[in-house]
Amino acid sequence: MMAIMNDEVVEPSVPFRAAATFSAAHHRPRDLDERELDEVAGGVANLVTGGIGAGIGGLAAGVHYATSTLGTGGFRWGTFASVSLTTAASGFMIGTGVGLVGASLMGVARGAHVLGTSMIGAGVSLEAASGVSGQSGGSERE
Amino acid sequence: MAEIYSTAAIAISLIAGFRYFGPEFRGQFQIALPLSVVLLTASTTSRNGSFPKLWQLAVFIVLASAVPLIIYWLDRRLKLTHWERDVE
Repeated sequence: MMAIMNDEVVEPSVPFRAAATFSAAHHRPRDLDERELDEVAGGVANLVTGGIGAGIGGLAAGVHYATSTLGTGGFRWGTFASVSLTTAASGFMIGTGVGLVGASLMGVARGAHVLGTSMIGAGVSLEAASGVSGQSGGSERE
Repeated sequence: MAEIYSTAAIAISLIAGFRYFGPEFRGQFQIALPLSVVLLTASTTSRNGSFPKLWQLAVFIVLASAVPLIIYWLDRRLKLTHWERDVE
């Protein structure tokens, strides 16, 4: 919590520390410089991109499942939801992981390949596990 | 195999929508559309054991077109791949 008084930002005092005063100009919003833009592109932006891709990809997987099964009468709403959600979750992890590995390779975000590789592995595992449970009838109810 | 074909088709559609390979969208779209339709058809054939009907093929074409177009529009709107920085 802070207050702006007389063009100064005043942060309230906390125990063992006096109240701090800064120039209000220091706290005004500003455009990001190139380095900060690169940091965003290598970090948070991948989560946004991954989320958008996962949502649309999950919906597309659900539509494809519905189109495939409506003709044969094998459509189940439970499986439709399962396919959409699983594809969205695994797609988010794989997509974000690929983005982070790419950002690391391009030098935008150093060390991001560690988290990226982990996310790709987790996404592939989730996709493989959902395929196994689907084949064994775990999500189907006759 | 049906899941792998389906996942690959959707991944190709999504990748084509983002402008990671350059600001030019049409080239990516022209490659991704037939690939996605073939993979979606293979997925359905693998799942059902029979070739999909004509209306199902039409839905696949719409799906394979809509996904990259929506992603491309969002990419331009939200500047996800930041190509606008290099236009000037």
